[in-house]
Amino acid sequence: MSVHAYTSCSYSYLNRARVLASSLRRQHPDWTIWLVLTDKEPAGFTFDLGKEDYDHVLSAEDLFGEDTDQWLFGHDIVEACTAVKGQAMLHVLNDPTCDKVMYFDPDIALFNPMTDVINHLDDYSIVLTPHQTDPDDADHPTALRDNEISSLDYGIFNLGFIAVADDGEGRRFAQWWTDRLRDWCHDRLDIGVFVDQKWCNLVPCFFDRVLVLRDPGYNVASWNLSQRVMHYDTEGRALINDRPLRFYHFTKLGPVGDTMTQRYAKGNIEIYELWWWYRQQITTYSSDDIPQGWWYYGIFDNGEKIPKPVREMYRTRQDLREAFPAPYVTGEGSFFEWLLAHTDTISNPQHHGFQAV
Amino acid sequence: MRDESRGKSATQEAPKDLPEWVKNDVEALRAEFDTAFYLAGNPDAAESDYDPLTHYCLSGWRELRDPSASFSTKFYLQSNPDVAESGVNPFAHFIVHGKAEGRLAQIVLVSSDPAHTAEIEQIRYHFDIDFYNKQAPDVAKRGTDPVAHYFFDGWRAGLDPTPDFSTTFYLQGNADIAETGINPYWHYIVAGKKEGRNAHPAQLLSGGADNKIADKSMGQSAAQEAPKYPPDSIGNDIEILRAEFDTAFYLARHPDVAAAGIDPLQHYLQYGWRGGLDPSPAFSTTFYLDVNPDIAEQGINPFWHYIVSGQHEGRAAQHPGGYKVERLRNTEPLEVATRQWLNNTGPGDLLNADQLEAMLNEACAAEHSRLVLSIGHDHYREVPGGVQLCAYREELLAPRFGAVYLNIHPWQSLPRLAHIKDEPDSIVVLVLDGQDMGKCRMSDLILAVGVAMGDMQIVIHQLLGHLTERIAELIQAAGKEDCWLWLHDFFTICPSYTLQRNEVSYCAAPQPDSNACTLCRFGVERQSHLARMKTFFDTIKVHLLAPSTVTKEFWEGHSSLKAASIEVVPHVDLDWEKRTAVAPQEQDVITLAFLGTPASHKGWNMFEKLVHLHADDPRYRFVYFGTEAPNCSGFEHVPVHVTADDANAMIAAVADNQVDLVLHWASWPETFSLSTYEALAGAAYVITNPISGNVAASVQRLSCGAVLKDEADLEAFFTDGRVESMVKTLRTVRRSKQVTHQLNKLCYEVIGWEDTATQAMNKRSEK
Repeated sequence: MSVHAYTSCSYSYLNRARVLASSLRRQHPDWTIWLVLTDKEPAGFTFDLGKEDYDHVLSAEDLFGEDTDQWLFGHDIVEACTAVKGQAMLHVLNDPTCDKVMYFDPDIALFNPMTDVINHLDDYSIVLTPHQTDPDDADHPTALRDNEISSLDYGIFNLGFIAVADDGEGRRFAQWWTDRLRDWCHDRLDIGVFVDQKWCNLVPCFFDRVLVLRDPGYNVASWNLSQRVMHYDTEGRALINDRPLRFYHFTKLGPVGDTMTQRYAKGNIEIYELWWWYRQQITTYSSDDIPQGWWYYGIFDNGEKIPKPVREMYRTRQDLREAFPAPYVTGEGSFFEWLLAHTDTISNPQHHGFQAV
Repeated sequence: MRDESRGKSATQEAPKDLPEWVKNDVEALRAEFDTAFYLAGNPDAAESDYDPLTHYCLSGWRELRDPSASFSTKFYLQSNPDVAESGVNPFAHFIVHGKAEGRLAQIVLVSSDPAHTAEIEQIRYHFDIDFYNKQAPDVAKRGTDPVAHYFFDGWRAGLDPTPDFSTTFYLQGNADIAETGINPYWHYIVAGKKEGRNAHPAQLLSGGADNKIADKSMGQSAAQEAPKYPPDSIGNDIEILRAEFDTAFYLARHPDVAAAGIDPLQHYLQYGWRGGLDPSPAFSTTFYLDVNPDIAEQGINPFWHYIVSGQHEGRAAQHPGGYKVERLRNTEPLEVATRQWLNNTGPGDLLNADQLEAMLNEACAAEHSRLVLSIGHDHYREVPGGVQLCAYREELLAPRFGAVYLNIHPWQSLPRLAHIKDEPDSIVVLVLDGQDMGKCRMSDLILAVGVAMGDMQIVIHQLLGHLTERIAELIQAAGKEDCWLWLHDFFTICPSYTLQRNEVSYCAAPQPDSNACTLCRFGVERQSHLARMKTFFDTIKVHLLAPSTVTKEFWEGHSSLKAASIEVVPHVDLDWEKRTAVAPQEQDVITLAFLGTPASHKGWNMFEKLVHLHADDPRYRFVYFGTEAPNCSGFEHVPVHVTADDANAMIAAVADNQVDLVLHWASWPETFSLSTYEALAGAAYVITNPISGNVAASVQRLSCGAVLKDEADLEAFFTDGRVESMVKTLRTVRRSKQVTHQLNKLCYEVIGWEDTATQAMNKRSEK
């Protein structure tokens, strides 16, 4: 029995992915860990797999071949790094040593072994963790909005984590997810789509052997802190509602995350200590030579940022894709030149399209 | 115009040909029915053949007309289907039965919450009632207060309070306000206007907020040009701020403001907030700016914003995690903190082995043949503290035992053990019988002590900043195989010697590979720390001196180190005897005190909290006894400096000030707690919690105070009568008994040396 785990990110999140890998190694030294990097190295930085806790690294090209550039151009960074998750899952499942695979968002860290989930995958093909496992009180409308209504908007299950067994139903799910993400991994709340996550509302409808894991120790994050309390037992084991803390999802490192944590952790000092630890880990695992906000696919080759409306236009118009098969390239006869000549999307990008959430 | 000549008033008798049940209703409602209201809202009733009351009883209520401004027929029938089904007159039902049954006469729009009332009145000042009534004629018809209606319901329905304010536009343009659910017009009046937010689409055309809404309080158009809050624009709100501003707190923290004679509120508004000063213990300026970047970016005074707007938007005045989170926010990783400890200047001249040998030979040859080599972490004569006081007293006691007292402590203080990789031959400072002798490398001291010393005992008070490997070599070089080690704290178990995980939470010393240790700033260091301690204990026979039984038991239960022996040696013994002196005059107030270093692990924050909670309660007097007063207000400060020469200074101060209770809310198992014994020796009782180690053990053993289960219990203790009951008991005991105390002889209790008097007596006996 061999368990594989993977995550997906750009170089900007490499520090987080390193914290994840370190915590995975600590809990499961025998696992095979994959890093899916939808990015290319910035000048001055060299990614050395030998110095990382990862066993394998996959690029978008490894997964999507020669179509990669054109396909990625239709996605912003969040869409791109989530859109590859399905194809990556198939890739990992195809590894002959893989019996069970788990995906973790890079901003997750493990604190106790995933033994229960490993065992569950003997009886189930797919394990999902809901954003919330206990309802908020009706007289707390802010909590309802932040938590339950947000889940109705963005997806019932948090796709920062999913576990899949290499069996028929698990593979059928992986293929379906891959197909949807190939064409529909977009931040389009206006049509009911939110990247890879909201699709999985359909998983219990489409697939058998699905476990909705309601143990409060999994996927603890600001969106469920209103109903979860952390403390340590006398042996120093971290507990959430008296269950071992398996993994915490350190979503939105910064003022926004702080605000949501304060709103729901309130006086639970152990949660703030956990965040204090995470911040120190991020500092430790950061590479100074990765520029802040770096994403190779975020810019044209002249360094100009690619506005979201341009990506939308490109992915929805077949004529543009056929006319400009290399959309990142600038210069004479390029897509960039066409945009300048025929649109104001470059000079005034804010007036176009919906705003990503 | 009504035909008054027909005289249809409610005071008239009902026509005799009416059904009996209508007559009954008319009689029941005669005193409650508002004829004028009814006729104003129902002019057709004036044309009826019946008087208004009879009109209502016959048909009006079936047509959902209202009999008075305080009763809604429609609401009553809708909310009471049993009444609706019965077919009885709803107003009559309400008067005869419903009121007594607690049924409501109409939708309650006006909250009893005083904050709502105040906000409604603020809105009323600017509200255009005629304009509103045209949008919601039913509201006026029913006699409902239109301002209250807008405050609770109207804005949600998209109604506007004035022609110049668009509710929908404001909510769409200010998602932060929409999310909070607060009334948008009220927000605009108290904050949005000054923040430069637009009230109406027309303002966009004119290029910004021109604030057409008349500010009646200023009698002029309150135009704001920029969304800034320099103090002068706070203007009208200054008195609101003054009510919330804690002047005493501010002046206590910033005595320079008091000295300069500046209005402290003005100082805060102009300078203080920019420097991160707090206007009251309940508001953190830096926290508010940190978590509200929108406010910080606009240069808005955070306290002002919170008072007039932020608190109603659900923004927090300080971190909900309290002082612990504030501390955590300022906590650096251990190695970062260690770098900050490093000395900026060199050690200067160092003594070599020959010089050290000569010095030691001279000291020991003079009149004493005995030597106590004391190992500590700082200069016990210069730094106040319980550990230091023990070393100081040992030094003063040394001559009684014919000994000289040589203390060594690291020249480079550190918050952990020294690391060999950083400095394999660390430098120590030497203090001989209280005199600074200079500094030397450990290697030189190791050479020097190897040369014939007399009767030597090695006593370790603290190993912080030392290399355990070099200390072991020193002990062996002195020809010894054992040493004494005081368990003043739990440094042998964890570099966080008070067992504070991340310096904010008591951890109870779990296994080093536990989650708690992995997630603690001391976790990595603890791994090597324990390994080095084990080597030290395996190399040297360590005799532990526990100041209390509870410490001995804790150490035995939480340490895997193998000690040569462990003995309980309390620092102080207490005794109660019949009072011989006259009991002091009792005070009317209850005096609660805090003794010594105002550190969070000793419960200073809880003392501050109690002071804050009961600042205006005349039953209590709060006093702090210590060297320097913390920069807080609400308590008296009695300067007390305990030294080995004046070891009873605190006891005397507690007794002189007739302290009733001392709060010692330790967040770790105190190994002895001198301040607890000082409190008891000063005839006070002690309030503590169950994890406070020897504090709780002593309180329980001596029945001198209370061990309260948690902070909530502590707060309740001061409000539910227990405090008065306990002080009554204490004062009864104090009138009949007095406390005596005996300071023990520290290491000399156990090392087996006779004092010089006994030696002399023995010699005389031998002769």
